[in-house]
Amino acid sequence: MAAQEVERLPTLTTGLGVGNDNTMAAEMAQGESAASPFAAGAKRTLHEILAEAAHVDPSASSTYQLTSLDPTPSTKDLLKRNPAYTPSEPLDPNSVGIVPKGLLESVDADEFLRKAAHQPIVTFDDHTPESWVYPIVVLITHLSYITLTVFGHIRDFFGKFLRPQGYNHLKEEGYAPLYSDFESFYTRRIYIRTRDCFNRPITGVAGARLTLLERVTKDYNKTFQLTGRTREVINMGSYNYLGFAQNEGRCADEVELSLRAHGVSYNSPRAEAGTHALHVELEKLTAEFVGTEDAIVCSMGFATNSTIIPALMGKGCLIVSDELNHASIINGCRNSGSTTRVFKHNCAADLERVLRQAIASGQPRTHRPWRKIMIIVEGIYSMEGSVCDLPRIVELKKKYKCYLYVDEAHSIGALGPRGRGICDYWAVPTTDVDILMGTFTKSFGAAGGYVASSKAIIDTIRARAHSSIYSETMPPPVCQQVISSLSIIMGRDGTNDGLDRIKKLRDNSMYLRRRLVDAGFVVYGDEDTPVIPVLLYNPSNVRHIGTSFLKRGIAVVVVGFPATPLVTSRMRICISSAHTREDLDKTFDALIEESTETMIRLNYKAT
Amino acid sequence: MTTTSDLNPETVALLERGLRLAMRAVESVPGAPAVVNYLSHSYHNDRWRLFLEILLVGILTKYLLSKKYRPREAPAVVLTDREIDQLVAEWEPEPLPMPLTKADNLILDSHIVFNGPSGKYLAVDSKRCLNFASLNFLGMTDRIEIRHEAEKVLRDYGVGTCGPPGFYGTLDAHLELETSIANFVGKEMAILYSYGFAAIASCIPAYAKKGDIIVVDEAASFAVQRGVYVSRADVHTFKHNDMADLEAVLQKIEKTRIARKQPLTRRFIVVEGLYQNTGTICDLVTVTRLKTQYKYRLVVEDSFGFGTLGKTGRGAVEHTGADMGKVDFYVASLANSLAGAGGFVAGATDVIDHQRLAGLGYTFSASMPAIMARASLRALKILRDEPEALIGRLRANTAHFRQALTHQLKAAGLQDTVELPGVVESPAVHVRLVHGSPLLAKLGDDRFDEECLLEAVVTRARVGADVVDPAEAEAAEAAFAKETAVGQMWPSLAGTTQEDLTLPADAEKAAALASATLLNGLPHGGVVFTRAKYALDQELPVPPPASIRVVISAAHGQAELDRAAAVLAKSLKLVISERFA
Repeated sequence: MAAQEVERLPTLTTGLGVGNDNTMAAEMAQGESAASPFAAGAKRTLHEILAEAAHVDPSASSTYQLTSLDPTPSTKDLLKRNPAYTPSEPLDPNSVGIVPKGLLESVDADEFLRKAAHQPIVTFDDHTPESWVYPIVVLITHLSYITLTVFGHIRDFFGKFLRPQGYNHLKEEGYAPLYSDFESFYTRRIYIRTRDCFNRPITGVAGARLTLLERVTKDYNKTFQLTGRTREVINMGSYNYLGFAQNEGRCADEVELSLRAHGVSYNSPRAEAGTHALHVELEKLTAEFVGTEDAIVCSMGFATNSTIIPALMGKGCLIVSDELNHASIINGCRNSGSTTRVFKHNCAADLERVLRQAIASGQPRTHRPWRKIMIIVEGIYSMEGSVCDLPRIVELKKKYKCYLYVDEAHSIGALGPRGRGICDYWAVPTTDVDILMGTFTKSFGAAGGYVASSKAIIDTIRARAHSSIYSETMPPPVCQQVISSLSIIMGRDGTNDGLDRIKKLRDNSMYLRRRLVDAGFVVYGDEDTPVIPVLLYNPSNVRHIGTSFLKRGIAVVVVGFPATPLVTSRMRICISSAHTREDLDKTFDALIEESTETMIRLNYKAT
Repeated sequence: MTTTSDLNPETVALLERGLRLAMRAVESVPGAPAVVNYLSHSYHNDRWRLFLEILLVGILTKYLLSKKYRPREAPAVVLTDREIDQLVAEWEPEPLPMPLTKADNLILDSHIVFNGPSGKYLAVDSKRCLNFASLNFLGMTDRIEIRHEAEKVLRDYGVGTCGPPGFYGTLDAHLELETSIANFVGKEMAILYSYGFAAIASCIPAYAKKGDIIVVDEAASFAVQRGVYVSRADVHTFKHNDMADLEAVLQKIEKTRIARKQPLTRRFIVVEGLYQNTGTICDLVTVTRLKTQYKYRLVVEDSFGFGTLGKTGRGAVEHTGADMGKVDFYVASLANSLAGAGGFVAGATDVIDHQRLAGLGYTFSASMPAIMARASLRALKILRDEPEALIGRLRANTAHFRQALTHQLKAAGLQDTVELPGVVESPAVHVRLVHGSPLLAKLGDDRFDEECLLEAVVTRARVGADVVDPAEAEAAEAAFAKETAVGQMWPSLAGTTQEDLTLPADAEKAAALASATLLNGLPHGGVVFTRAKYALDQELPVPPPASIRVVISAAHGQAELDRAAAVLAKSLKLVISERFA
């Protein structure tokens, strides 16, 4: 919405943020009224925003100040990003602000409208915090890892003498150790210290709340024992974007019926008597939802990438892959036997450099021209929360005659006014993307993945992909769950439930992210993605946040090296439409309280 | 030699002052006095040494500051932007979809779509067909208890887990299943993968890296090949199930290693328990002996053998009497015998735990839906409770089918034309054409021709009016119903009734659903077989020969087996005689 174009930054605060946050919370509690820029559904014109902004007195007692009033730069920026495109359907002008004519003369108003509805409000392009503390934090983080490593080696040195039985798995007589030194050292001496933050067992549904099974360790995280007690906590860790992780309601009812009619599982590959009417229905529905000719489903998201890329690419082909692409894509590239080059995360300029160089120099050694080149990117990067710069990439793809493969694992359902993913978000026609891949694990509360594309490509996959020929099909309850949730998102159930979920998700995401940014946390990613990574830096913070949040009754995901670069350990909050404002506020408050000890509010300005 | 008198005294004073200042500045740098001290001493002791030292430092600095040589990054020829633009303009990529080959089209055209449950029967084209294609060895997908369990689990857990195992995706249902499987197969720990293909394809690369050695059977199934290939280790193959060749390969590797003085790397032998592509059982006793002797780690993939071989269903290891302790990784799919989805790897605790971080298909993938985990758990319990009834029956069925088919083939005069390779215990029977036999003399070497022929047989058996006789089907089903003990295990046609499908709200929909899926209401059809399908050009190193893979289930009745054998033999005869008439 245009309202959110206006950037807000905290100014002039006294003491540590609690007081301010209360004021802010109060302001937010005014809720959906048009007065709050956080209200995603606010119907306001740019005129109104500008007029309102003009009335704000910087010296007034308000804790907030509107700093950037001119929406033009971001519009220009936007147009620079997304050149001409053909809209698939007209957008409702009432749903977004009206563009004042005088302000944007050179801009096609229609186009601006469409984009204003989708465009990310703040893009945290430069991730480095401005604070003077930052270099110290980096230094301390490095020191922490050095300390951990040195102590680990000291312990190993003495341990091998004093307790050799603990190292038996590393030195079997006549065998080479089963894992490399680094892997083993990392697991034994660093990972194990935070192991209680990972693989936490749960029971029941991972919805807005989840039920943790309490576990204890008697040997410093080597083994865990379940105590038999359970605990309900707020779930900020599951990819339950649209809140379809449910055991009741329309989806569950339909799945139950489907279980009775179609059974529990089929034990054949698709090609060998394993294609069920449900699969056909699901593929048709998916293609329609995504907006392509045809689609194929696979019963595991990871395998969708790792088995389908090889069906399209082979020797003599080049895959140009974003450096932060998911492991399944990397696995698929390896599996395909084609050459892989990486470009800087979400950087179109670097992509262009790689493409130019690749096309100019051809295949390695022989210098023959490439058979074909495919760019692989993700819609939302799950560890960064960033949205792929699709318009620029589409532009490059056309210019350099490459093919484009977008992994929408996290963006399908979660992005775009209709939840139809990255193309919906950028208003890029789906025909500009050759292959749209996504998973059903996240937004749809099911499992598995799909690939949507033209019929010719899907037929190739159907006939050649490993998943269609060699592995089990998607089980019927999973199929049904996707069909039901898709129907709801598409409004086929005759209600607004689907759209409400999409709106609520966006609303929740922007609310929490904006609060975190304003409070001075270093947050990665684009404004309206449901993945919110908060930077923690120090490895001890990783464990501290992981455990202390649990004590506070909030389940969050913390990630450190080697899943992230050494310095940028982070905590990842996954927003769901099932979350209430209270859930988000609790998470926020917890972070504020923990931040005094962990020093993670590096952008906090206590001027 | 110039003297100071030649210079202006003022200049000298200035120089001296400058020198003194410079000295003071140098001295103020921490550690500088020591350096100066060292240099002056060095100069006094040996001027040449000082010269050499300074030279050395100079060379070192120059080396460190010099540009690194990176052979991969810098292109040999630097092109101008205009030249690159021209190259871009000239370059024409191939179309993205690879052109479909005849074999691809055959696979596409031979997809059949069924409705309702998949068990002993399949509803294809609104006909109730006997199913000899699904890998439903123990008839678990027909068991009503598993379906009831699934309905219950749905109300406790929903469907998806919405996260990888590391991030709140580990359910108690998974832990229970892992423990039960580990106990069942007799290993310390098991790890679940949500996709059967991913289990073996992730397990091998989790340990085997570049420079490691993998010795693998040449007839290993595709998932195994992928796991081996993606690990980038050095791969050596040995002749299918040929222990002498395996030993020769191991000896050769060891000899090369010693000759080249290479360090010890990780070494693996990868075999299948019951080979999917050939229906043979691996000689695991010898393999475990060789493995110990040559110090290799052993990976056994047993998706077809798990639940079907051995007295209690513990797979090929139990069947051959090998020592499970010598099998480092026991990998199998849960989708075949246990009516679930996904697969598992069982082994020692330390070793398996490593996969929770390094097994890509585990770490980076959403965990298995609770319904599937609990379904498998329930199936495992059934298998444990009644191994005799299931495995004994499966074995008897398999033997009976082979016998019946052999008999029927003989009656049809095809005994020399069609062969049934593989061991008698294998519930997947490959039906192959014998090249060069009198009837097939005209069949060329073209793989595609042969596949087409087999596909014609499969289609004939399902829909051919001259082959399929509904009356026979009814008789076979009636005979099955009379086997009372079995009838209880597999209640009539998966036990679904009209009432089950009726929701109070949507009677119309329920009726439509019932008419499409309720097997009871459908007329009898033919028998569903399938060709064994392969992605031929991607199979390494030897594509398996073409065959029809007949899968026997414990749920089949004897009369039904007889009927399937008769239909298959008849279809074969008709198709072959029509083709080569």
